[in-house]
Amino acid sequence: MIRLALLALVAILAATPAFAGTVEVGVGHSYSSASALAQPATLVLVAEEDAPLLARLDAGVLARGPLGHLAAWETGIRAATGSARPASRRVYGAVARGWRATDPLLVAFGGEYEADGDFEVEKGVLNLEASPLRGAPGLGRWVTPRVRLRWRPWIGLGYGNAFDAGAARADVESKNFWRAYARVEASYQPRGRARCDVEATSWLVNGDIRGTNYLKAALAVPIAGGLSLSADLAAGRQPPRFERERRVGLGLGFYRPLRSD
Amino acid sequence: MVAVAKPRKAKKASPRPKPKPAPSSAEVRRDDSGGYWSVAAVEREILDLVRAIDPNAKRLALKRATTFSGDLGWDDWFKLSVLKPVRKRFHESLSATVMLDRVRTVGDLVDYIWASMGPA
Repeated sequence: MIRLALLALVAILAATPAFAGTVEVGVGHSYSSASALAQPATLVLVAEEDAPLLARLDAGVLARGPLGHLAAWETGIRAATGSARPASRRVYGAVARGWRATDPLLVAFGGEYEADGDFEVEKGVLNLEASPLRGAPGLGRWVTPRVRLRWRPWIGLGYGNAFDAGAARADVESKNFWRAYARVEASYQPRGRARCDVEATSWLVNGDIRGTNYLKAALAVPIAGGLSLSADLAAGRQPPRFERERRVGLGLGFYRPLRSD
Repeated sequence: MVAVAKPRKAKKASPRPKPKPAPSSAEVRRDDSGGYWSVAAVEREILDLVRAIDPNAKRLALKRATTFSGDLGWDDWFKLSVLKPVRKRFHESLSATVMLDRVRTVGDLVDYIWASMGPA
């Protein structure tokens, strides 16, 4: 059922650009939220004595187009990969979703494909998520003009299917699963050019909330033409395998906002 | 709603098309409910609307060049907060994706609403 639903979403999205208006494309760290995409895509090279040069790449591309007055479609791909990561911690994903601004909420519905590095674990998830457009201080806007910090909460519910239930590796999610999650994204942009973006997600997977949290953050100092010097941090467990990860890196980043600036 | 008083007149049929005049401060346009607006009135309403949505805006000297992202710190989704008040005050339905992708400043929003209005 999940596969059919994902295929239907892809078919709808494939047809949408034919009647859509302008399509915008953004490049960043991921597509899971506006904040994640605001973090730059990063390439980090790791050199060790008597070892081959290793690389770590985190990148996502998202395209968006209109779907009537108050709604839009989005589709994107992402990869957290590179030889510096073991295959089980690599993540590949593709998403197709639509959202609608129904003041006071933004509601999004979509399907996502996610796989680990050697495609031993592949999952399809249908997600429904929402975020308030405004409300508390700092929600979607600076806390004050001097404190240039903003944040945004999301809550979501997903129903998914592990495509290859007979995979060699044991997985925390069974063939069919429910996944509830809460996400907070925050951005701090002091006067100047540097910016810091953070995204923290907690999943309630099969009724167990322990150990299913993931935090990623990036500090970026733009250089020119979308390139930046980027320090990033990730800790926790993320889908599809929810394996523990903890890393800090310094590398070259690239970011293209999802709009025509 | 701040409406500009203007009597309704029956339009005369023109024998030949006239060149479209350039927008000016004296020009008046009509929203979807029939209310008349000048560009200055639209700008005034938008400034009030932005201040009502974002209390931080009351501490800033808002002007047409004020950017939603850089000066006010609005994220993409917060920008969509203006759609409902704009629909209530101007009776114009703006596109969410145009708001996200094209409208960067207060002036852009004024121009977008102005362009959505019909001739008086």
